[in-house]
This record gives sequence, structure tokens and C-alpha cells, in this order.
Amino acid sequence: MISASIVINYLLASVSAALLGISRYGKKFLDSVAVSMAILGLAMSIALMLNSYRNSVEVYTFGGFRPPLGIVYYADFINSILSLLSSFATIISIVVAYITMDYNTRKYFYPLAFLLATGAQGFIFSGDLFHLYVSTELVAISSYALTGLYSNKRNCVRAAIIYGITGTAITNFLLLAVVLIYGSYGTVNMADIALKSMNPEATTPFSGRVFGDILHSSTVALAIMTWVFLFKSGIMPNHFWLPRVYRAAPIASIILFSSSADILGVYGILRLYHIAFSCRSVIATFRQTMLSMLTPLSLTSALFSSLLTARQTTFRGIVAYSTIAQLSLALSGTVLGVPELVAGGILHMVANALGDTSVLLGYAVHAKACGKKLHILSKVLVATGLLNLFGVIPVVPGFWSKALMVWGFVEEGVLAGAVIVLISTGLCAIGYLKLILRFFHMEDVKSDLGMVAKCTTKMQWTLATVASLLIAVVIGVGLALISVPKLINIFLDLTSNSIDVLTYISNVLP
Amino acid sequence: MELATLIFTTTTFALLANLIIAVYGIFMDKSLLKKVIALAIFSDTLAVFAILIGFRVPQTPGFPKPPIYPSAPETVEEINKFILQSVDPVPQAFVITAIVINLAIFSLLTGFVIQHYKHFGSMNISLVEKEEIVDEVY
Repeated sequence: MISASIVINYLLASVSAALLGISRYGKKFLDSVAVSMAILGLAMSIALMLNSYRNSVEVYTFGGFRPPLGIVYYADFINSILSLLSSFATIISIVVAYITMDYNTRKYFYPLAFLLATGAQGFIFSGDLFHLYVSTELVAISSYALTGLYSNKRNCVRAAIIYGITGTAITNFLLLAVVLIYGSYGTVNMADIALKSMNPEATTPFSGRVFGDILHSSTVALAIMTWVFLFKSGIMPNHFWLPRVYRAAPIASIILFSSSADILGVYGILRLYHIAFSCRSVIATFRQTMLSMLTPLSLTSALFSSLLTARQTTFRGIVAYSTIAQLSLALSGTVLGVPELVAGGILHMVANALGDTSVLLGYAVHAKACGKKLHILSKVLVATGLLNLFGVIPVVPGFWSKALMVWGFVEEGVLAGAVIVLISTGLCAIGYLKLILRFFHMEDVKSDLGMVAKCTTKMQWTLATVASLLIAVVIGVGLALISVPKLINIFLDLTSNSIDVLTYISNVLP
Repeated sequence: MELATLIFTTTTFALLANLIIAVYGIFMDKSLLKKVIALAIFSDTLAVFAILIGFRVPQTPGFPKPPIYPSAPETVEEINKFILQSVDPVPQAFVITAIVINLAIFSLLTGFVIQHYKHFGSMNISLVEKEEIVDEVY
């Protein structure tokens, strides 16, 4: 029930913000409504996280129709973490929009940001492939609009068009894959697909048995969906849109992209390879071939994007290529299916999102020029974010994610993986060092805040609260992992349960 | 070859040809407007392909029936017979959802194409000058 409530909350928030934007009460209530609904979403995500921490899985069937007849939402540990991350980023992006955009821009930003959050949360919880496609489209259309939000800037329009045309073409392939799967399996429910892909003779109520030979359609669908998800996460060589978008989009939009939209590709591949088409499926050989290609692909992508991070000279460029590098590392962790690597991959996506958010919020606070105290706070924020992305000090979660991945790679005997994690860290560090030196020695960050440059007392307090909260979260997670070593074991156990296909099937199709 | 099989095979090949032409248009054509048109052709072709998948269900010879029951069924046998004769309606439900989503996306993309024309004075993506690197907070 909580999972569905989160999605409905963001959908209502999107509609309310859109209606308020066109009403005469908008100026008075728009910001308060947006912040309140974002806080409500975060509170529900925290409740869901606590629920899954107690090792409880939430299965919600829409309209009470039992799966595979109706749409089902499935919330386990991995979903809850990503949902919490997305909700947290939504609040931060709304605060950043509040300080960097004027009212006429904000009234378009809020509905789109909430629409993106709706799609991202729907994608995370979805146990149904067609719902997954619809959620992907929701995220995609709001991402295009958020990229081109400043239509008076030619860079924004150009980036939005290139992202929009390629993204739409590729998302359409997802529909093709879903239809192919439906044609063979007679269902789009992920648990039902998982069951039938393991045992083609299985018969489930409403969807019956498979149609003919499922081998070919499954392989084609798996290949298409893998490509779509690689594009969505900007893994090389499907990354061409990401740096362009990050260089042009508003800061508030980039926060949402790196924490909610871009992580979906890696998460989609995780669900696809460990749940829908698990190692026990009839296409196990093809799946293994794909995995043996995905691991070197993601590691190569991490290596090249780290090299490019080191070469960047702008903060937008560094954030963009660093995101590709970190998501590639997260993908290399999640595909192998070892609990340490999957846990490391998930934690790495969280660490990357928190790091990017800290850097971007730090830049926004600095550009806002709200006095000396906030000036210092912005420097602390950027330093914390970069330390987290660098991940060599145990007080930040970035360290633990890399440690888990290195441990997993060594245990699996993939030494190249462990070495590339370390090399990638070193290469990215060059870019981060350039960024931090530039930020600390540059008094004025170039900004185009125009009419919204004035910093009120209300804004100062909001910024101070959110910036302190973000630093507390980053350092808090790291300190919790240092002081309570048991947490890592619990994290590994819960992750292990989340990628167990039999647990998934028994929870959804009792 | 039966007429139904001939029509099915011809349609499948026609759709494949359409897909290839559309993909070529999306990625190779220089005009942004033509890219959007190719995208529309591409998504509509996929929609027809999805509907075609629904035709795998009817197991009785001859042309399948539409998935609409003319009057309320009275017995289970009647329903079972109808299922064996009619097209699967689920892919059609998928397609109608996809059409609505694509309508929104094409409206947005067309808006961006118009903005592109206003900024650059051309719809040709290769004619516009090199992208300027902006590193600003906004």
C-alpha cells in the first residue's frame, strides 16, 4: 500500500502544481504545496524503507486483481533504497528550483519534476513489464521537457531535441520487446514471466501456458531491453546524449536526472537478469553470453568515462562524465549477481547520486551569494560531495560501495574488475581535484540567475537547512557503516533476498 | 498458400521494411522535422506489429473475429468458442496506451523543433554552428 501511495502522492503533486500554476493563487501557494508534497513522499519512502529493513516485502495489487491479471507493485529492500533516494532528490531539486528559478519557470518545473518522480517510482516498484514501459515513457517525456525548460537558451533546445528524438526511438524498442514477450508468454507480469522462463510447462490462472517456442522471442526481447536500459543509464557507447544534456539542463533538473532517471537503466538490467530471466531460465546460455559481454562493456565504459572526467574543465562536464563512470561501475557490480557486488552496485548508485547532488547544490548556493556563512557551507558541501564521489575515506558511503565491489570482484576471481574500480577512482580524482581547486579559488561562480539573484532571509534558512541535511546524510551513512559493522551484513542479506527469483515468484504468485 | 497466411506474411515483411526505412530516417536524415516524421512512422509501425501479435491466438481456420462479443455469453462453452475465434485484445490495449504517450511526445518534440528553427534559422541539424560550451549555474 505504501508503494502505491508514494506514486499516487507524486502524481497528485504534479497535477496540483500544474493547476496552481495556472490559477491566481499560484504565487501564494505553489512553493508550499510543492515542498509539502515532496516531504510527504519522502516520509512515505522512509516508512517503506523501515518496513523492508524488517525483512518484509510489500506486494500491492491494483484494484485487488490478483497477478498476473492485474498490475502489481513489489517493494523489497533494493526498491525501497532507490525509492528513498528518488524522494530525497526530489526535495533537493525543488529547493534548488526555488532558489535558482523565477516563478514563471518554477510553475513549469514543479509539475514536470513530480511527473518524473512519479515515473521513476512507478518504474522502481513495477512488477509488470508494460507498466515498466509506461513509467519509462513518463520519465522520458518529463526529462526532455526538463532539459529544454529554458527554451530561450539554444543549448537547452538543441540538447532536448537530440535527447528527445533518440530517446523516443529507443524507448519504442522497449514496447516492441514487451509485445514480443507478451506474444510468447501470454503475460507481462514479471513473476509469471520468471516462472514460465524457468518452466515453460507451467500453467498460471488467467495467462495459461506459453505460446509455442519461447526461446527465440525471449533472446530477442532480452537483447533489445538490455540495449534500451544501457541507453537510459548512459553506459558507453550509448552515452552520447548524457554529457550534452548535463551541459545544458538547469541544475535542479540534473539533480533529478542523476538520482532518479539515470539509475533506472542499471536497476532495470538488475531486475531483468536476476528476476525475469534468471540463471535458471530456458535462455540461461544466452543470458550468460550477454552477461559475459556486459561485464567488460561496463568496465571499459567506466575506464573511458573516468579518462574523460579527468580531461573535463567545466563543472557540468565533470559531473556528466563522472556520472557515466559511476553508473558503469554500478552496472559492472550488479550484473554478476554476487550479493557483495549487487549491494556494492546499489550503494554506488546512491553514493553517486548523493555526491552529484552535493556538488550541484553547493554550486547553486555559491551562485546565489547569500552571505559569508552560506558561502562557507557551499564549500563544505562541494568538498563533501567530491569526497563521496572519490570514495577513499570511510566516512562517506562512496568508500563502502567501492570496498564492497572490490571485495566482490576479488571473491569472484574477476581481478580486472577490482583493478578497474581502483584505476577509475584515481582517474576521476584528477577531475575532482581540478573542480575543487577551481571552486575554492574562484570567488564568483558564473551564473545566469537573472531576476532571482536576490537572496531573502527565508531562502537563506531554507538553503542552510537543506545543505546541512545533505551533509548530515552523506556523513551519517558513512559513520553508521563504520560504527555498526553489522549493518553491512544486514545489507548483504537483504540484497541477497531481493535478487532471489524464487522468493520473488512466491511473494507475487502465492 | 492460404489467403490468411499470405496476408499475414506480406504484412509482416511490409512492417519490417517500414521499420528499416523509419530507422534510417531517424538517424540519417538531416532535417529535424523529417526525423520527427520518421519517428512517428516508426512508432506506428511498431503499433501495427503489436496488433499483429494478437492474431496468434485464434486457433480456428479462416479469418479471426474482432474481440467484441455481440451479446452477453450464456454458457462457458460459448465463451471458450469465442476465445478460440477472436483476436487477443490485450496488444490493442497496449497500442492505445502507446499512441496516447506518443501523441504527447510528438507534440513536445514539434515544439522543440519550432524553437530550434527560431534560434538557428534552420531545421537542418548539421548546418548549425558548433555547440558553445556553457558552464553556468541556472
